[in-house]
Amino acid sequence: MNISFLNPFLLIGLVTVSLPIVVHLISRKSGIKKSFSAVSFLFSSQVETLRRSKIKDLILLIIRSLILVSLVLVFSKPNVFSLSYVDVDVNDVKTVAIVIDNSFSMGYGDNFTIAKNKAKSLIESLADGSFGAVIPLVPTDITEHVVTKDKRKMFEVLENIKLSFSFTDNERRLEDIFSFIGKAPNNKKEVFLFSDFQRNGWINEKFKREWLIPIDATSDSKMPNRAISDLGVKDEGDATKVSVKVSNYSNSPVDALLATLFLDNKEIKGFFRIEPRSEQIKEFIVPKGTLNSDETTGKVEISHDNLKVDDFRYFVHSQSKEPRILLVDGDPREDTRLSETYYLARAIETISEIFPLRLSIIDNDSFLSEKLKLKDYDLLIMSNVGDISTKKAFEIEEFLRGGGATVIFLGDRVRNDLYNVMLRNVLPAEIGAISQGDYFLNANELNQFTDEMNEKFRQVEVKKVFDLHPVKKTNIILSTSYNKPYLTQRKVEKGNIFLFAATADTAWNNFPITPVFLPFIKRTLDLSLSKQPGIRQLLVGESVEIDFPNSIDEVKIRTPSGEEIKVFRANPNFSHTLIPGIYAVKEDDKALYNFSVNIDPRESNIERVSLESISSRSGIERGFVKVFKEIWIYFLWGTVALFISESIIRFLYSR
Amino acid sequence: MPKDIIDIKAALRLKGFSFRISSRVKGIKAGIHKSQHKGISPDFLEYKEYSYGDELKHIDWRLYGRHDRLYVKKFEDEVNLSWCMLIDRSGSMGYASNGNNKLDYAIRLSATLAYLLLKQGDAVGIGDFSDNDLKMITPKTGIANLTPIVEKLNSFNAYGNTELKEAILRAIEKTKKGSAFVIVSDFLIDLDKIEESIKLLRASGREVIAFQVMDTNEIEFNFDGSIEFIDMEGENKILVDSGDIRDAYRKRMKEFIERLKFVCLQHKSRYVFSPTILPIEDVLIQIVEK
Repeated sequence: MNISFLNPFLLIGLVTVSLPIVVHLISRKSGIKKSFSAVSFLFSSQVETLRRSKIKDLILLIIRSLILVSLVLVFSKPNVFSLSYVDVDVNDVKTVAIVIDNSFSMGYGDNFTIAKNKAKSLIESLADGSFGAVIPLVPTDITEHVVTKDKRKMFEVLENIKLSFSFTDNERRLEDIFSFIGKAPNNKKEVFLFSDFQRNGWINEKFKREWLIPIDATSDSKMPNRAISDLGVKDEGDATKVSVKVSNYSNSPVDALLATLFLDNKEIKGFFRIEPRSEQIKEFIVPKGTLNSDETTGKVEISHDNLKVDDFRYFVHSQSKEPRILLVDGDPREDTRLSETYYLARAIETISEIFPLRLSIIDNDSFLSEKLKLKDYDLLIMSNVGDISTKKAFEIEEFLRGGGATVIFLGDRVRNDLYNVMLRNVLPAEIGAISQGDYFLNANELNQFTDEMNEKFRQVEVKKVFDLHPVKKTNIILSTSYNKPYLTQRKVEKGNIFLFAATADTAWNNFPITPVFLPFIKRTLDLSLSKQPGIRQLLVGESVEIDFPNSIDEVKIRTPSGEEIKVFRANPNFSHTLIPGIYAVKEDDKALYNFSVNIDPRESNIERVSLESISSRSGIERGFVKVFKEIWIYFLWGTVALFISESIIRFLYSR
Repeated sequence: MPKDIIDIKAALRLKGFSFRISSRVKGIKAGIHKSQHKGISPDFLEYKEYSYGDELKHIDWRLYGRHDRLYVKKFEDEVNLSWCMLIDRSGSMGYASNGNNKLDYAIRLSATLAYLLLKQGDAVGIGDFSDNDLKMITPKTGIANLTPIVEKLNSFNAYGNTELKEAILRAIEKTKKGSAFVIVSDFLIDLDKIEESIKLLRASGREVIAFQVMDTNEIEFNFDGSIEFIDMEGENKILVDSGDIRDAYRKRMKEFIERLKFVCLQHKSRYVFSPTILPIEDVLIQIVEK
């Protein structure tokens, strides 16, 4: 209930409330002076009347003050008013969907409460016989919408709608609601949307629907906001850099905005100065030695404003390790320039100058040695390797299933039947006979190379290849001009295996000496080692495939709210990313790793669309009006009652 | 002008009455009061068994012959009485809620009584409660004594503290045993001191009549509002809400008056309540012989 006054300026009269207090205090200290003969009797009498007298004084003081308050209120003419929805057809029986925008931008100030209060007023004003369904714009736990005539049920659902941390696609969601309400009873349908009408929720600003009635649920149309709109963490040399982007979504500049980076019990502070409608990026540099060696969790927070949820952002950062590459040379020579792996090793060494790598080159015999363990490496490159033992083939298979990557270059030492038998479970293609010809390379349309690189593949001349016959689910990345697969790729559980149809040296093609070789090897390494960083940064609502370490079939994920959810290897998808924060993956009580979940920064820009633009009913007078009820008469009666009380109390005490 | 302070109306109304006290008095001159001196008046009073020290001449030998026991005869004797009037002229007696104050009333009461007592042939003296009243008028008979009494009464003004005991001690020295003491006061002092004074008088063989002169406001406390009361006999002051304290005050004052009455009764003295609104004759008529 809200109160307003017809003569609010008369409320200044409330200062008169101090009068009885002042009079009381003054009269306590002074009185008329009179000489009297029996003063000793007064002293003895006062002892027994003092407490009673004080109580009487207090009661009278309160009553007299209340009389003044009441009188002032009478003359100020107070009114109570409630918001009531005014419809052109008040008694019309219809079906309405009451849609509450619970996207996180509604957490701005009191907007969410305003939306709920207005929705409550709407439910109250529904004509008897009308149906209603209360629906959150962002689906939360309430997934089943109920169309009911029972207003109590509607209130109950309304009460249970909570603010989400999600960004939502308003239009698609509303279309779903239109479809749902379309099947409900009554011919007349209306969909009321209580929202802040933040622009980012609307792809099409001219989204006009017959049933849609937008109700503004903001206390102020101008909603300045600032938010952390992006956060990146990367290792550079001996330092880890946390770059923070803060956006100012208001028309006034932000001066000295404090941002704090919380990292492993350390706090680093910085200040942002951002122009109106602009953004600024700052880097917090942390020496590597001060961080936990394996994984670091952290948070960046800026000074809070009216929308707190976008004033912080979480991150998880794993210190990158140098990938270990094992290069097996099947045809080593004393003159390394003549070795099978010469060009490959040069390419990898060049790449390692920018991206640290650890390269080991061994021959075929060393490769077959039992001392060599593939699990100590991240990438295995076999170049014209002629001999593969059963044990090694089995080890390669395990290596791949565990997430390792393998790149195989063929050559004259390779026996295709041996490969096809030994590596039948992992090869992307069955290796056929050798073909000779004059080919160039084509990149597959679905591959991930740039256009520039695709063009350069045409410069590669191929004279000899093994015919590759891809198996199911194999991706052909490069083909020869005669459409023979040149590079194939297959995913083996968590690992990747790449199979080239030719050699890694210039014996069968000139690929190693073309300009595209280096970027191609870099790209192949990237693809091969893609599991290394892992996906550790998510947005609210996104699902993630949980990484299960070997021999673990079940993990527990502790959410920021303390809830623990089990995830099994059989179904590794985790989609319970409903609140922002750090999520910890654990095996029993042993921490495995963490990942962070943050809000979608698009929702932080609270610029609005006009209500007319999304409603097709602009000509009709709709909305909420204030219904006033004068209550000053009650204060008048109250004043009279107080006067009578004051007289009665005075009379009783004077007896 | 002696007549100014004598209540003529009261004097005229009470002229034919005799003012007496109930117990025996000692005196030589013939008067209207019964004397404690036995034997010289012809009015036989009673017999008493002889004891050592009784006059042998008062033995009734006839009775001895009849009862074989010695009895002595006792007789009544009528004598004139000596009155000593002590008037309280302390500060508190200056209080008046309207018109005349208590001291004025006490003066008129005392002057009228003095006139009536002198008229009936008694000796009347007068003194006050002041700290050092050295000019007490000792009891004398004869209407001529009225002039100095009235002059002294006229000279009174309300001032100082109530020094009852000291005044009584001085007055005892100047009066004979058997005298009647008339104390006119508001008695607004410690009750123990009053009792001590009355006991002192009674122990010295004096009769006591206490006139308590009170103003209506002292009894009823008819004040309104918040008032700071200043003691008329000292420095004390107190701020009270009259309405709040009225009931308690009245209760305490009533208790005090009742206790004062009881003290007087206990010591065979007379107490006369004398509110200033009561006509003098209505007060004095309470001590006339019925």
